[in-house]
Amino acid sequence: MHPFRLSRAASSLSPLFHFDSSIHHRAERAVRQQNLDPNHRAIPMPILDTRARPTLCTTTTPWWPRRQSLTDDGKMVGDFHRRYILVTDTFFLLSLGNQLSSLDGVPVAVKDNFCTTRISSSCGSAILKDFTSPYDATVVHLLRKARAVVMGKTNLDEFGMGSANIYSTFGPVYNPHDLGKGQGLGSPSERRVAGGSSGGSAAAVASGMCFAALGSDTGGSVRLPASYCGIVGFKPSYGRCSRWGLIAYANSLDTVGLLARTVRDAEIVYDIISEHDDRDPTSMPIDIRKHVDAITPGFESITGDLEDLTGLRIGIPQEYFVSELAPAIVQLWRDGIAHLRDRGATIVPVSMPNTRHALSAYYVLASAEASSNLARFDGLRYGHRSDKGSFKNDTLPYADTRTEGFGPEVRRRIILGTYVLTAGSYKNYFLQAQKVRRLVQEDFDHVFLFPNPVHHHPLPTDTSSGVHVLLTPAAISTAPKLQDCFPSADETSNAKNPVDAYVGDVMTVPASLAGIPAIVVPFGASPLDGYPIGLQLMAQYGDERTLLRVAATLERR
Amino acid sequence: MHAIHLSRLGRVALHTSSVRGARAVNNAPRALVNGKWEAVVGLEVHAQIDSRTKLFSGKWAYKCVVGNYATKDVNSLVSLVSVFALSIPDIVQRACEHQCVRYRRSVPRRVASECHGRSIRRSTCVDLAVMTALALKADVHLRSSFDRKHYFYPDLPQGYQITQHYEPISTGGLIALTELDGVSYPLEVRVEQLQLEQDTGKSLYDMVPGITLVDLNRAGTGLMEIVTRPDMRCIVVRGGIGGEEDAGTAAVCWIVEWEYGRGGCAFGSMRCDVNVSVHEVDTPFGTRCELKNLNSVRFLTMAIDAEVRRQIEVLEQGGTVMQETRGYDVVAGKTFRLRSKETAPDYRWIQRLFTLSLFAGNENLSEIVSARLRAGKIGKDVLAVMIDGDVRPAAEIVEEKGWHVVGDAAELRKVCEDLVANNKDKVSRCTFFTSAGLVHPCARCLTSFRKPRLIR
Repeated sequence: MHPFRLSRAASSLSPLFHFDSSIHHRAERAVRQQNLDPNHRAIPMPILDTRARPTLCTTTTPWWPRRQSLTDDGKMVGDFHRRYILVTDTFFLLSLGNQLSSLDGVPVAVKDNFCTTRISSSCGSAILKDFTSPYDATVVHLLRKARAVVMGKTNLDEFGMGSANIYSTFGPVYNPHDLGKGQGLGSPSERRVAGGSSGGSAAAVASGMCFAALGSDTGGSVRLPASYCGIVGFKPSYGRCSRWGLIAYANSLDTVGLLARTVRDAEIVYDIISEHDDRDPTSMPIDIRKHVDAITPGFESITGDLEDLTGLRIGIPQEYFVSELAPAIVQLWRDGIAHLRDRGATIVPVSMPNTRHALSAYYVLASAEASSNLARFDGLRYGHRSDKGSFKNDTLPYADTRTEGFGPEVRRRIILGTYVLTAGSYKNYFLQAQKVRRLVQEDFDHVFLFPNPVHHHPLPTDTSSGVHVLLTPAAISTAPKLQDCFPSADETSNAKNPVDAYVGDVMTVPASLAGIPAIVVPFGASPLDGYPIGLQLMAQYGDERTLLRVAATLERR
Repeated sequence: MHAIHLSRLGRVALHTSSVRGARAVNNAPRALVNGKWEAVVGLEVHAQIDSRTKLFSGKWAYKCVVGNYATKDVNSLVSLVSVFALSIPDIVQRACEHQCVRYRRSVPRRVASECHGRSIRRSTCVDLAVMTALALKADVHLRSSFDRKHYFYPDLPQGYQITQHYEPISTGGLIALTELDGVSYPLEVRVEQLQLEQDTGKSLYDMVPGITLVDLNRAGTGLMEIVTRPDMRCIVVRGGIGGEEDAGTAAVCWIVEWEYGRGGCAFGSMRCDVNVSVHEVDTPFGTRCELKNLNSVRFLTMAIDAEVRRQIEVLEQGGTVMQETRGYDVVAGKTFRLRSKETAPDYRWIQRLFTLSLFAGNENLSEIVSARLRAGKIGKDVLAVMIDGDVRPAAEIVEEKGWHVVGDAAELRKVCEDLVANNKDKVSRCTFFTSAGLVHPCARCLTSFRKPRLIR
């Protein structure tokens, strides 16, 4: 991992962070309160080994102005808004004292569609540009309770809609691997995207700015950027982490996800944030959690060795061999299969015939739910309101506000979603998509060894051909070039129309539709362009234990 | 008739009585205008549920706040508005969303209503809705579902309203009106459905000139919408104000009475939309027009009269009545068009967003409901006794407990006063009003009486 060097590059890099001005004060206060005796360590901290710290603290000069120049009235937030910041040596000091939780003093970034009280939550959109939430999202609150330091908010595709993080009011997020290649950011035609929609979070983790970052995964929004940026992206089962405070894009698909550099790091953060929350009605109730944890035995090898996977059955779904897959990805997929087989796993080809319909069903459902959830942004109570005086027009009072406030992709999806919900199309599109979704869920239930713990009528699984996890690539290619994501008038770009970009989600969408946990692990780089490629593992609903266990083995390449 | 059976959709419906057609019951002479026109009226009543909390968020409902609305300052008003009602992003609704995974209950809960994955523990809104449904002799569905109805309006903060259009909490039902209620002939008004929904905010047009203010304190409060079948006939009364003889008004009053009886909504927090059509006797029903924004019972009557007159005029001149939504202009005494069928909004329903499941504490709920008293009204406490497990007819219960049927205003007042005088230590608050407010506070201090038909 290349330590991130700031200096002159800082101002020319794309926006990643909203600056949290209160960090400095709180850090100083925390330092004073710390018992600086290194012998009083409450919890042995594997995360504070040399892997994590140097990239944060020691190799770069603090670019952050000293305390005297910070004002308390929030002015600094505006001045340093959306610039790179870096953690100072203060955090190094924090780590010497009492560690009260596994994330004590650890800097974490939060995607900008989570509500936070001290920092604005814009969702990457002009319609919420200066909106500050009156309450903290539950996962943010849990992180703060664990004394993690929320460094700032990261850039994202507007409202979570996009696969390349190019649709944001604050500009696109570039892949940090650009910097490591020595190309700098000189040539715009060579810049690659970080992936979407949690591109900012992925770039922040990949470039060493923070220990981990929160993201939201609706159709692959955490897993795709993880693959492009070469880090771990973990999406737990739907309902494991509370969505209270996560600005809704599609209620039945949104999941809080994590990005971190290793599987162990992701697990640490996951343990903190995966708690039941009464305020989120879709949060898995505690008795169901116990029930799920009891009946999914997970997978433990007999020897207990991380390298030993004897007895593990890994499914390779045939329908994921789509024609759009780049050859480098296919090769790496095969390497991954060999890697696991060498450690004793049994490889089983499986078939999930409804996979080819999953992408269309996803876009119908997600757009419909988005058009419903985004109906509340009318500029009346908060957010951007147009000056054009359209409120005098009774039939179109919000048209100007919403047109100005929403970006092109959001407008596209709202209109699409509105269309599929209209009376004439409801049966043909929305209802059909719901049925397809049910079929996709059943596909997964058929292939997994263990029955789905929450379905009312769990389907009988064939134990002779059932599998523990599924292994697929995370994306169909490495990180695309920025210019290829925007269709251009002159033929310099490969993009034809905006809907072409949707095909990039084809690997990640079925897991979202089914609500099952999935994780993306970096597994190498493409020999052609050197950009990272990740492999995706999926497990049965509620079976995070198996998933994380196998992912830990897979990343040891 | 008392059977419990699985309907086609797999829901268990409790059928209590067969509902006969209104025409067969209403043997009364037809009330005809100009000798041949008959006006047909159907009602949609939105009644605010008297619960302390709003339907889906935890905030206090509007009515709970003591004080005069007009004198409240802005800050205290704002306190009632929940973050949910403001629909600040993101609010995950307490009572659920489209869910990816539906949790199956591993342990059955005792008497509670549950939305998928989340239990609304003894939600008052749901309880009162169920009680009203029982009072209307409707079929209570143990499983109903909520939908989202989308339209853009400033007083709808989320851009959609959560309502129960497709699978309401109860369907069917009957409002039996007698001469005592003020109609000239006994009438049974069939109820189409009763559904729970969210209230919108309130738009205030008159406070500041040129600006419409939106009061969101009311947004999100639970509403009960009772939709009746077009079983009411009304006659155009000379002078235009015929409260007593208007069956529509009588039905509304009955509902208000009933609301009182079970400690329900306060008078005035109820809105009515009316569907009016006119046809000649023995011909099919004419095109109906909907009248909206009628804020008092008196306006309701006047608006119905005006609309009936308008439709008759149009038809007699040979024209056709267009299906429209109309409002009522009090000053002019006429209805005016709000929007036509072409500009009617497509609500873009998201159906069956989440379901509401009711669990009975004991299996005898079905028997209780099916053994319910069919004729006459049931006093609140009689009903409470029945729900607790008593299955005898109401008359028997009344007799057995020694309760006394009070049928007269003066007598009622005397009874109230006596009781208050005798039980000074138990009575916390008792105020007497001369009109509608009379019975309501009494309901708090008295333990039993049969609710009279006094309230008008």
